[in-house]
Amino acid sequence: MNEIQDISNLMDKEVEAITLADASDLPSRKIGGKASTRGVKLRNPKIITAENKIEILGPVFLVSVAELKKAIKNRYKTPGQNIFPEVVDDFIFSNEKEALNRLRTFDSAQAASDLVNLAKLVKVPSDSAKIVLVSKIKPLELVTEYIIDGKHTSGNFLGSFDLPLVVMTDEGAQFDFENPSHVVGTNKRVEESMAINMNSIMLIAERVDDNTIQITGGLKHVGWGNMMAIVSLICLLVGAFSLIEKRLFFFIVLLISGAGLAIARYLPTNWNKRFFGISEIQVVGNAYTVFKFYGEIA
Amino acid sequence: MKQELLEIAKQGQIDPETARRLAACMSSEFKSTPSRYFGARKVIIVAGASELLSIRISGFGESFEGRQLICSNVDNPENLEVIMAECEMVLQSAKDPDVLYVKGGETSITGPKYSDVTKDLDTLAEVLEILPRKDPDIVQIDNRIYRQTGTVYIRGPFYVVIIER
Repeated sequence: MNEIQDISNLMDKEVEAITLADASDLPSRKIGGKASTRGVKLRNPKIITAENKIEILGPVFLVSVAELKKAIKNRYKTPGQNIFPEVVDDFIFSNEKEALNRLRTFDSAQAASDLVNLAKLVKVPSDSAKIVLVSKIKPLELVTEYIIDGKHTSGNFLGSFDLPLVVMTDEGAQFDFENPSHVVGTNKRVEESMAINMNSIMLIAERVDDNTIQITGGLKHVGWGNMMAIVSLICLLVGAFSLIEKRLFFFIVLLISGAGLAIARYLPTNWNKRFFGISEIQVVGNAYTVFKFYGEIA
Repeated sequence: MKQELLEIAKQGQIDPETARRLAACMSSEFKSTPSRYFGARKVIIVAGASELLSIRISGFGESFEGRQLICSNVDNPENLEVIMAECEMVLQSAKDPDVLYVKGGETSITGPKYSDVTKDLDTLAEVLEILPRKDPDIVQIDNRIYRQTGTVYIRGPFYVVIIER
């Protein structure tokens, strides 16, 4: 942890130097600050965690677990009522076999592969605040070859990481930073949000800002639906009261009306699907990885 | 307008290739165009004969002046976006439609705000296809007909199986 703290202090000094640089200084390629991003692409990065030093060969993507989970949940959908986002949670946190069983009527080989890989990275809901380094996002491919504390490892996958951790490379990095970010460059050519391509970078991933929520959308005529449900309930209640009062005619009329409205609203007939639409679960929002960085722009 | 273009071309303060391209447009008409958005790999903007270009770059505190501005994307696969939304008048050369005479207002040139780093996080949802049903649609046992059954298992000491293809 001390090493991470030392690097953090060093980075603070470098960013301060960029901020205080005289405007008349020759433009340089130095850039740094605090950035919020959905993903960083890195080539041959070295990672320093509280426990280990890891080297990965080749390109990898740094993303938050929450962002990756969102991407997988939104990547596939089942025809009609989309149950896939629920299946993802079931697969990770409940019963894998039962979750896959819900997809048994679909051609879900690729989805199942993504689910299996995702489940290796996420074990409990609080893992959403961690970050991962993966070889490929679509389809999801984990890093299976790396050097950990000088020892070459092949076959075991690289799991998720607690924060903070340091990632550095001299062989290229790309990311898009978004609001809120505070990035400064010696030549001041920095906007509020932009795509950035770096030759070298040293970053400390500090936290994950998870703003993702699962919503149900795609429904039409929601007001009509609610009104039908309420009127149906009133009809049935008043109908029951009419029976108590021995007013058979009102009871029959209200019972038929209430039941008819309830059937029209809730029975999954073709008319119902056409008129009210089919609810679709989707994950919206982003889960930004917030990091401090310093390096040279390409 | 043509006179102005001729003067720009003659001044010799712009690169010869651009000057030649401008001079070649003198023989044809310039017509007003409703287009205000253009995509380009490279954009060359040349100042009128009398005044220099006033250039502002997002993030820079100071503004710049110049005779010729060239913006290009070389490594970046994305095109630049040229927007003339606030310009009073845009005239297009009939001979070379990529030569535009712009009057007043402001033209902006932007690159992509976002790279393709996160494109795989945002791909459109793929609908999982329903597997073809392998179970029999109709099972008839003597006079009884069953539809959409599950798998049928048959056992017996001896029986004949006839396959139709």
